[in-house]
Amino acid sequence: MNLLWANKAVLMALAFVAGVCGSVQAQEQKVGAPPEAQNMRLVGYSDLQARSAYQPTIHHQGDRYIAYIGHHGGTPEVPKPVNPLTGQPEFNGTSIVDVTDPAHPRYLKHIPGTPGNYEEGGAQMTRVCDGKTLPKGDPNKTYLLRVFGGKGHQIFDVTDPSKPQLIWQSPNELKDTHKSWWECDTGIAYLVSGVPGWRVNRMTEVYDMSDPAHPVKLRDFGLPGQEPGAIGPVPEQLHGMISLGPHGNRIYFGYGTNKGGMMQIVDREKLLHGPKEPTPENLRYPEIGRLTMTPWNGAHTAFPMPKMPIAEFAKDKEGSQRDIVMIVDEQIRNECEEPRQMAWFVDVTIEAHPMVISNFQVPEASGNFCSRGGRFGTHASNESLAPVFYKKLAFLSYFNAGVRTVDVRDPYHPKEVGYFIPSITSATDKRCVKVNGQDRCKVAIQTNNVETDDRGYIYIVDRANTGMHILELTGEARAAAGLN
Amino acid sequence: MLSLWQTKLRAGLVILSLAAVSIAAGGTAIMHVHAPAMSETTAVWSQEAWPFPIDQWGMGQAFGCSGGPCGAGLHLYLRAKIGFCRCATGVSDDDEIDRVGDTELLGSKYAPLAPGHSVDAGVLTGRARVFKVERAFRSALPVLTVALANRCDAVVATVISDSDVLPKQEQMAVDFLRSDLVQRWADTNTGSN
Repeated sequence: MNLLWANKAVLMALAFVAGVCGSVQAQEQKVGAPPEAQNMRLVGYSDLQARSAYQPTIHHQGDRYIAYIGHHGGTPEVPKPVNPLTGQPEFNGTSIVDVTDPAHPRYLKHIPGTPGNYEEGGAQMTRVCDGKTLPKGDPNKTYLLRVFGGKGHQIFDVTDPSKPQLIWQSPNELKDTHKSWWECDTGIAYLVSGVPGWRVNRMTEVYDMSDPAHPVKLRDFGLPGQEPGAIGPVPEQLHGMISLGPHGNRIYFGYGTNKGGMMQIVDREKLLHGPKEPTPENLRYPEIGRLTMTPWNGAHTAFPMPKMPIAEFAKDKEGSQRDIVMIVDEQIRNECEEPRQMAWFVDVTIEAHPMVISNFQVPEASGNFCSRGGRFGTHASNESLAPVFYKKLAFLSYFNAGVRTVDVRDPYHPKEVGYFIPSITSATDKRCVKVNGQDRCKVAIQTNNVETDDRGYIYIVDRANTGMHILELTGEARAAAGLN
Repeated sequence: MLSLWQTKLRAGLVILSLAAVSIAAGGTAIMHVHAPAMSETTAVWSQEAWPFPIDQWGMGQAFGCSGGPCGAGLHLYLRAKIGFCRCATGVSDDDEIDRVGDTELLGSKYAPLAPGHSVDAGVLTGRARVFKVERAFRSALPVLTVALANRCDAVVATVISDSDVLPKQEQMAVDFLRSDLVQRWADTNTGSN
């Protein structure tokens, strides 16, 4: 061997690494390029002051429709974006937007959140209830429940959404918070919290918030092994839950985000009225069933769709109607640097033995999404139970693949009927991966969350600061929902 | 002393092995440690095969040190857990060691032997704690779990000894985590937004 051969070996090795790691330059988004869409159309847009957005809640408030959007923290470059309404830099918190006319959304108010960039700060979660439905609420008022960064929970009087008034804040500093659920008809709230002493950063605090000015804590809840004083392995922490209220008497909890996933079915009455001391036995008591997923996937959202008639089973003497839960994983890492996250459809009719029956995913090659930049994979679904879409169409936020509209009427064979990938703007933030120790960044849409209203509009928000797009269905997708 | 061409050839082979194992491990770059020379005063680590079944965190890096100050044998298992840390506070208490640590690799029945304590290793900060892992038909195994954070990412080291995990062994393990080799690996693989 000689020096020339050795040099060639180094060059060949570097070329091999570059070939593997560099991948193809494929369909990266460009500012000014049009959106990509099928059976979905852009109706309106708000830039949300270029704040990274998480959970939107659309509330029919009197004769208006108001969107409450939770935000992640800022970026190292812009930790406190300027609020044009006040002229002041403000830590990302909650945007309040009047979407009564979806073609012309009107930004009303920004409530600042906590300091901290990305998931360190902000106020990610929003839920809204009217006082007239809450058992002890003021019937003339509307209330916003939000998280205050990871530190706590807050309730605002948003009767006048332009002038929110803080009326309650959780008493103790928490380790973390996330996507809670508030039953507007009973006032019971399931708060994703990190109570000090518990072995995870996210578990459940159950509150009676029927009087939003005076919430009463009922109990803590989590998986056995997460409680204070336990030893041994710590079960994967909570992400969020959805309750079917006293009528359905079930709560579906999703644990894990992108790994160690588990969906737990809980008897609501047993949770609320069972023994409250956090012992392993008491924590097990309300559980009806659970689905342990492959550890490569997590359960970000567990969306229940009970009593779905299955056309194919219509002539079957038993089992023609099934209880379904759609589990949506969250992709965490950029540019496909982890196992693919997707939506799983689970038959929970026999609750003690849930079983995955199908999945939905977007083919990577349909847009070369692993090469576009940022995350590719599912994050969340719409959570509205309004009849316009419920048990007919589901909407999945899919990061750089935008929002995907899925026909779920046959959950054994979910089928995509539409999608919308918004254009990027000059505000869209970069997303980076490490290549040979250096950051290599790309700019791509990162559709983070999605929600719908009872009129049939779809609201998608962007994690990479692009704002909120208000959409409507066209063509086959519109027909599937039964809309004119 | 290696000649220039030998050095370049070795560099090329290291890059090739890095690329090959990166593909197998789903893109996580791997470290390469050359066969060590024995020393009576300095711990010398060599790379070993990852001995555990694959799980959601993928294959990690395994290292061994024997002879000299390492005694009968010291083994360190290292993994990155991307996005698993609390971004704001990192590994700031013993609950977080329990949550992010890899003690479970050695067995599912374990308990801490003592409270943890702070550890820093270059860009990484966190805590270390000694556990006792129960084993069937054998005495319990002492395990040192070191859980460190680089922004939102965790770097977890699990250390076992053929005898016991004493403060001297812990110091050698932490020194290894502070080495250029581990620091470069951590910088390359963790800490992105």
